[in-house]
Amino acid sequence: MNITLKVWRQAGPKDAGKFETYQHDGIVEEMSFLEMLDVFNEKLLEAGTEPIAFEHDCREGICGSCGCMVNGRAHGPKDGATLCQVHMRSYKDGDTITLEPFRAKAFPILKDLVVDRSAFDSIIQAGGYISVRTGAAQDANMRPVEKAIADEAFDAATCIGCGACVASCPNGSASLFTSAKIAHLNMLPQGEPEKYKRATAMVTAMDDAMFGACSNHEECEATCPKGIGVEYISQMNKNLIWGELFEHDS
Amino acid sequence: MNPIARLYKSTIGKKVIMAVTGLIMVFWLLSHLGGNTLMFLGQEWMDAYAHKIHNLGPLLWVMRLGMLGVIVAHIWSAIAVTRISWAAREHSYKGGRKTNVSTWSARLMRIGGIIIVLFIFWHLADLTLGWVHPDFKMQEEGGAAAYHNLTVSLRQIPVAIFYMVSVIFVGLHFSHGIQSGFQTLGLNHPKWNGIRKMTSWGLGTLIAVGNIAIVAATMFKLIGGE
Repeated sequence: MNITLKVWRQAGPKDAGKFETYQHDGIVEEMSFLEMLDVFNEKLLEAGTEPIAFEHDCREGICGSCGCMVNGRAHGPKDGATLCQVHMRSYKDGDTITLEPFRAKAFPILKDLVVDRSAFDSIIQAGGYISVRTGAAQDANMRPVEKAIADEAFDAATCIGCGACVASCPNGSASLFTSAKIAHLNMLPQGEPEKYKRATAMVTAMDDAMFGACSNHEECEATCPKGIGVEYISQMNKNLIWGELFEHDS
Repeated sequence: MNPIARLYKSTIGKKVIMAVTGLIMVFWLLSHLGGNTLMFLGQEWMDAYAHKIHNLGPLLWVMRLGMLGVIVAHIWSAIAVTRISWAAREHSYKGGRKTNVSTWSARLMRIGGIIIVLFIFWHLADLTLGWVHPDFKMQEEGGAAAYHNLTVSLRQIPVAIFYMVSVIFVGLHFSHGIQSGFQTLGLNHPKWNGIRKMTSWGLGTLIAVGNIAIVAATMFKLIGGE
């Protein structure tokens, strides 16, 4: 299979960057998307040119490292999958694939397809933990949690922090990420006592990191590799509104 | 600090202001449409209705200033979140960003909002102040002004078309705005999401079709005769 690759090349954070077009042949459909890039990078190295920088780690869809815009869609064409879970069988001979880094002011480009997602860490640092004393480890099921709530909290907790929600959002908003990180703690007994404080702290950190404002296009939900839904955004808003209006101390 | 001011500091707080003021305007516009359907019943009904509203006295001014406040707050918050969002994507996608589920009504919120503001200015200059009206009668002078003013204005084809295009944008604004407003206010439940979105589309269609019916019927002389 022969593919035309149109890749965003940017030497460093200060560089202007531009698209470069390459021909890549000898691709087999069993290759994963990232393997295809690995093989291409070998060719670039052999030719003495700089390989394409892209982030990756586990390559099984659970670490959240990989991802870029593939033909304008975060993580490529497959629903519910990270870029590393896409295989070249999704493409056919002669296709053109455009690769561009996630774009947001809060995600500065470091090199080629690699962006700095530390802004997500600042949101977690603001409240993505519990600080109440829970004592020593208890027996399992000592504190019953309703199955439906446990499931919902778990769904939120599947967020791998890849940044696809921000990349897909017309406003560059991190609402889906932040809301998932708030929800999985706020819904469970350990996180519940601090839920209003947490919502305010994490939303403030999100705003301070210069992410945009949600306008409910729901593009994030459509491209989230973990299928996290916008209902968590609504829940985050409810926690924030209630907390700011009625539960604010001082 | 005042809780509302504290809430307003966050992007979500700005969205809350937009949602609440938006939903107030939805109720207001639906009653506006309800009142204006009296055009179909004829001059007596319409003028009697207009008269009742004018005779509200100070209450009328409370309503007018209240609506002005609501509109200003809505636009103020809209500009604030738009600026935040534009800054958040300071470099756009050079290779384009694919749209997967976003609706046209969602994407037309900003441009539609601007068109609606321009329309409100025209609408007030036309039928409240009479500045751009060819033969405007003040309500106070005679008992029969509203019906006359409306029919004369909407018999001008370009004006009627502007009215109809504008209410289509109001309809589109409704169909994204209502369901989006409820989502912003935290009212999202899997059981009700279908109804939330259906109601939003339904009211959007109602406000557009209802108003177009009045304008078109007047333009084609079904209302007011020759």
